[in-house]
Amino acid sequence: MGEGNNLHEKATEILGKIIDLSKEDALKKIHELCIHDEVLKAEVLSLYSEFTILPKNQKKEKTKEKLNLHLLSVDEKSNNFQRLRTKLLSKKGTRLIVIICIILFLSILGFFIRKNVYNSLFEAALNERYALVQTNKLILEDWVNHHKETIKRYASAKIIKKLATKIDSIQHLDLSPIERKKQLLPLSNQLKEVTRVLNSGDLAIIDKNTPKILLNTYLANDTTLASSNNLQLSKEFFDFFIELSEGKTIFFSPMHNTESIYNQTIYYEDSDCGFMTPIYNKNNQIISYLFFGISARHGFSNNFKLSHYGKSSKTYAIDDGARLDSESRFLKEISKPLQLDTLKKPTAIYYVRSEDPGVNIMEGEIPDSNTFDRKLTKVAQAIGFHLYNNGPISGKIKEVYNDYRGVKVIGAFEWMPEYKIGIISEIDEAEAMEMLPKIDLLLGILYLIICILLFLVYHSNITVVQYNKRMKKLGELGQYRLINKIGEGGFGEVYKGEHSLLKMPVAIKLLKSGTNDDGIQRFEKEVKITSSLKHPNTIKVYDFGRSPEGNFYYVMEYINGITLSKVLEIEKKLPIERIVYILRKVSYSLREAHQNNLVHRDIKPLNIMLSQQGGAFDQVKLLDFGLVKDLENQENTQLHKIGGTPMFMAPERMRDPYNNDHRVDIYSMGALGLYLLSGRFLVELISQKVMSGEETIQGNFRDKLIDRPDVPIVLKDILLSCIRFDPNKRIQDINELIDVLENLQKEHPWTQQLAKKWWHQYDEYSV
Amino acid sequence: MDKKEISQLLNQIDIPQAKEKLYPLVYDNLHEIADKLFRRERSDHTLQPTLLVNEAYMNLVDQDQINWQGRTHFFAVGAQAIRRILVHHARTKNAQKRGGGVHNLELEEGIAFTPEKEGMVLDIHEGLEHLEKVHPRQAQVVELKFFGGLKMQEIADELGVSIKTIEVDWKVAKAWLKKFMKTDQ
Repeated sequence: MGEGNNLHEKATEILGKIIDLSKEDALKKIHELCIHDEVLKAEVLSLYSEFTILPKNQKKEKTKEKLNLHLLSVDEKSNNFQRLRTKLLSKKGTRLIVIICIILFLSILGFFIRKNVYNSLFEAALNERYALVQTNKLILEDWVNHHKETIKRYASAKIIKKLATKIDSIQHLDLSPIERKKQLLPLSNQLKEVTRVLNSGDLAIIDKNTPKILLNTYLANDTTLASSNNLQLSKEFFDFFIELSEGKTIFFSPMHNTESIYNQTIYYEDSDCGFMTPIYNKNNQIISYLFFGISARHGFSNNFKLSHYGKSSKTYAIDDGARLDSESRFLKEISKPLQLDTLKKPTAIYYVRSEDPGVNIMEGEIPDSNTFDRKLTKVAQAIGFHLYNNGPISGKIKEVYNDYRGVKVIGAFEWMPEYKIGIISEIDEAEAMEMLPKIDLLLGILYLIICILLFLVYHSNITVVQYNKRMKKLGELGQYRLINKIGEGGFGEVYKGEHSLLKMPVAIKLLKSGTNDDGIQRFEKEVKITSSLKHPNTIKVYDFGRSPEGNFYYVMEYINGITLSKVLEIEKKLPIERIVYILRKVSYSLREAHQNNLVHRDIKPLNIMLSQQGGAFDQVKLLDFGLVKDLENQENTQLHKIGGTPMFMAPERMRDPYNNDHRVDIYSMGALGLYLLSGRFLVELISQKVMSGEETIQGNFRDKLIDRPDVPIVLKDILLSCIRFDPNKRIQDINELIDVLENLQKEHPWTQQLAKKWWHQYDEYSV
Repeated sequence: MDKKEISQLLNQIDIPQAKEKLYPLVYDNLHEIADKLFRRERSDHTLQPTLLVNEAYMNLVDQDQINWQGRTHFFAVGAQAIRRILVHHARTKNAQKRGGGVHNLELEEGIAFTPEKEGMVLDIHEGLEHLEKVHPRQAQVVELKFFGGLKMQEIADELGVSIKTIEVDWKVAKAWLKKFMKTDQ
């Protein structure tokens, strides 16, 4: 690297010029520029080759381009969808309708889901009931068969046969009652002894010709015979006798003692079921019948107790008159309302019919005592339908119905013709549907969450839609295509863009605020005036409008330059010449505006652009004329924002933000000039002077505001005159300032050479 | 110096003086952070210089007190310091320069150092020392971007030149460094 700095710097300079060219053009240019210097050419080419041999990167860029093209086409396709979505969602009214529709749809959906769940639960409960009916039927059959076997065994016992034969023989003798009793008592005792040995419960021997009790052990003891001896049994037993005489063993389902078995004779208010079987002698002839009764309330009802689980599951039997044949699980609860408590021993058997009482007994309601109006329960009706209309012998009740307690239940049944009883199994709807409230709760919570989300969407949607549009904005705004964002601030955003047809580069300022009508009118008026300004130091405004979201924007000429505040960042202390030059150019711009009665109102380094264009260096442009300053005020008046406008704002404007006096601009020019000269803000300068006790505000403190020795007195004086707090004490016309600056310029000229030098330092490869 | 003072220092107008005062502080802090990483002695440890500078920034600067320019200034100082720390570390480990253009020069920001790449630090350091002689600003751009992780615009602001200038400098400097490493043995 012996060649030293010069070579590399020269090479860099050349590379800077050709860096954006295509390879062919670049090589051509390199040859042109290095025509007399082979060493330089070799250096340039070797460096150039290092950053052109990047096949990987180039490929990447190409695919990127392709991707971009692809994205564009996708964009167009999705455009319709977006438009629809925007249409549906952007207006609050339509959005509300969409949300209501969603809620309605969800409600309907929820209703059907719930119904579906209900149906499946119902179906499951019903199937369970039916299965229980079947199980109980089997249990009952087993129980009956078992007892049939037992009584048959008893009947075949020798002692029973002997007893039966003796009783039969006594029966045919013509004896006095005392004599008969005398004869029967030992037999009765023997039979009693048999029941004791067999542990069988009371047995009775019935006459074979007529249903009459010959000998009963019930309530009999050593000295007395049973009172029921010689008692005629009810007419139902004639039917049994036909079967019995054929040698069959029979079972009869519960019959009420007084009403049926004992033929109207009051005996006891209870029901029994029973078994009967013939007793044969040696010659296989029937002597008489053996009778064996079982309490319906206990022995018979026990068969159904297995299915009494949970809170309400119950299985019971009814007869062909819909009277209960087995004890109710809820005897305690129903006995009072159904007046069972008038019985000595309350029981539901026989006294309760499977009828809907019309009220919910379980909740303590008392049904109408008139029982004629009561309707059979659905399940009893189904059994009746089987008995009298040839309906199905078993089945499930496909709806919820009231049982004999008036409670809504789900149930199934089967009629057992052999025993003349129907078995019914039921469960309360409430218990079968226990899951339902939980599911309701779950669905309810989900529904609530969805509603809350929708509510949030309803409110936050605006930002979602706006965000979408903001993304879209890097597409189009009016007739302009947005290219990229070049600035952002409290006011809004600035984009670089181009006219979609003319391809003219523009800058577009999109303002955040501005929705009231007053604002629109003022904005329009100001844009019109601003666009009439023709001075080259004023930025040109081409167009204005409102974005789809209702924000103002205006379109201005695009300057590829830097703001004065940026220049000050780079160079803290600008030469007097340049300061005079900049102030003069800004004043020219203001002069035209003031002539048109337009006040800028926000002169500050950020609003002054410097650029170099086509060999003209330090082109000054004043930006942001007066446009909707009032709308921006709210933010600008926050004084703590150092660097913000207040530093250059005339004091009367702080009191009256709508002040439209052109002298506020004169003040700002003074403040700007002082800032350029000292690098500090006026407020800062004043406070510094006051703090150090040098002067008071009232005095001529302004004279000492600028410490810089090279500042011409004339400049200082005119600037100090500009920053008088009393507008009347300021210079009254911008032309006064212009005169002074033009004179100063003669002595302190800012030449194009000086400007070029600065720009070369800043933007070496473009200048 | 506490966080507040450092932040005020960075916000002041005389930047060169502020940087001079700041450098030893940043160096010490970065050295501490880096040492902790090196001491773990894990063969697969990676070290991202830009993350280290960011950590030092968190340690030393009160972010509520600082503007974006101050932040950039800090990262410029940090880039300088971390460069020296990494070079020092590579030297103590007797890392070998690769030279001979064996490797592709990886200069993009956010690069992660692994022990195998320690030689590369020395390569780049040496290249930058030579580049400083022929074009100081280009060497500075590489340092700010590579060791400080600054963005193009930030480098432009820090050096007070246009972004185009930085882009050209960066591209040419990369080419120069590649070429330098190919020829330098």
